[in-house]
Amino acid sequence: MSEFLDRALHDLLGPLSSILLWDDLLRVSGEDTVRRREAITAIHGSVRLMARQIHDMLDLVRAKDGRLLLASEPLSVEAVAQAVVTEARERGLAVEARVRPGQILGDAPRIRQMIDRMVHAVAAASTALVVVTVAIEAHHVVVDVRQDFVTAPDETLEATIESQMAAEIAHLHGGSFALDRRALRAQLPRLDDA
Amino acid sequence: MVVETSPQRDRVLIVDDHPVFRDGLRRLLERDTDLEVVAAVGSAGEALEVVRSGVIDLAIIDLVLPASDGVGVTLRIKCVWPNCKVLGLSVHDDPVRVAAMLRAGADGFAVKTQPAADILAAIRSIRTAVRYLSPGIDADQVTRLAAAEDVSPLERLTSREREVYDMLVAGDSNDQIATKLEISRRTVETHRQHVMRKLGVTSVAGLVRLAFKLGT
Repeated sequence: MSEFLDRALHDLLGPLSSILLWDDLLRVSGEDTVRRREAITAIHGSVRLMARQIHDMLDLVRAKDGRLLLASEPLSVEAVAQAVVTEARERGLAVEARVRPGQILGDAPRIRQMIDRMVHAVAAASTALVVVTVAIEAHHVVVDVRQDFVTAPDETLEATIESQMAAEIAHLHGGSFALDRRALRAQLPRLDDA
Repeated sequence: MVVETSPQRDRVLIVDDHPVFRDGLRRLLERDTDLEVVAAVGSAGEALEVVRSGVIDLAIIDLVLPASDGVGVTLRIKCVWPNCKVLGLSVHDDPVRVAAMLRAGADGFAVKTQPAADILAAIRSIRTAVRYLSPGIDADQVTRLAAAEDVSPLERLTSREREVYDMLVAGDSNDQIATKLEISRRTVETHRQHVMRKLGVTSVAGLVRLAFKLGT
């Protein structure tokens, strides 16, 4: 738990320090509306990031305590992935979807959360295009999220709250989660085999 | 990579993997007419590319970077441009890490949550060759650690690498470590390679001998 707390607090200090810096800049921006808008946008984005991280931390604690309950309904992973990609694009991320139909038994909001966190964990490494792939491999629907030029080592990706949250959701669905230098990958049992 | 040039002002390099903070820092420094931010980058590789392309007078370097750290970047910058002033800037204020930056040649260390005015004061301080340490950092302890000649090589390891080191020395296999730490076997292998490289050994037997020597 101490390692989790250490990591969680470190993750929160990142956006917090951005908020403090941009707040100082906002206070000295005077009537410069361009600078003011830039500062407000930076602060808003960092606050949203902090809120998301705090929610994930609460979810992770609930999951560890067995208190994170999931629905179990047929759902189309490709539709969820497409929705995540659309939303990520609206937030300004460069994301592309390459999806094939694949159904699982699961909790749609949580699967959406899983893919969203995978996208954010990978996108944090660079501004390069993030590619979300949904494919069928044997008995699994595989969600693969990668960038072409990610150089972050496993420990960097693995340690993020986003990756931990995504892994927890994959495991709660009876699946697995793995990562390497260039990708995060969740394998979820296919509905046909459930 | 295009690097802007201006002969009159101090040429500044920012190395920070948090883009929002990096952009804010650039905006902050742009308010100082004595400084010219020639590049703001997010990785050690990009930083070294900039360093090779021209003189850098001042570098502001985050402690934690993807696939590297601020200590390594500081060493390289000081090697290429010995007169370059380096300010470590991080959310971490752990004296061991701060001392590692100073040993690498950093001229000061500030914490990211300090007010912007403090960060500017830190920069002014090191530009006049006066070491700066954030008031929240135990300066005596950092000075002692930075001056220590016989620093344990284990300080080079990240916390996760230290866990893997302890388990390897205790006789755990890669699979056992993967299970205990809830990470993949491949990740364990990567950590193991990093540990061995950083400690200069080539086998688990070498690790055990080193552990015996260090009394860990």
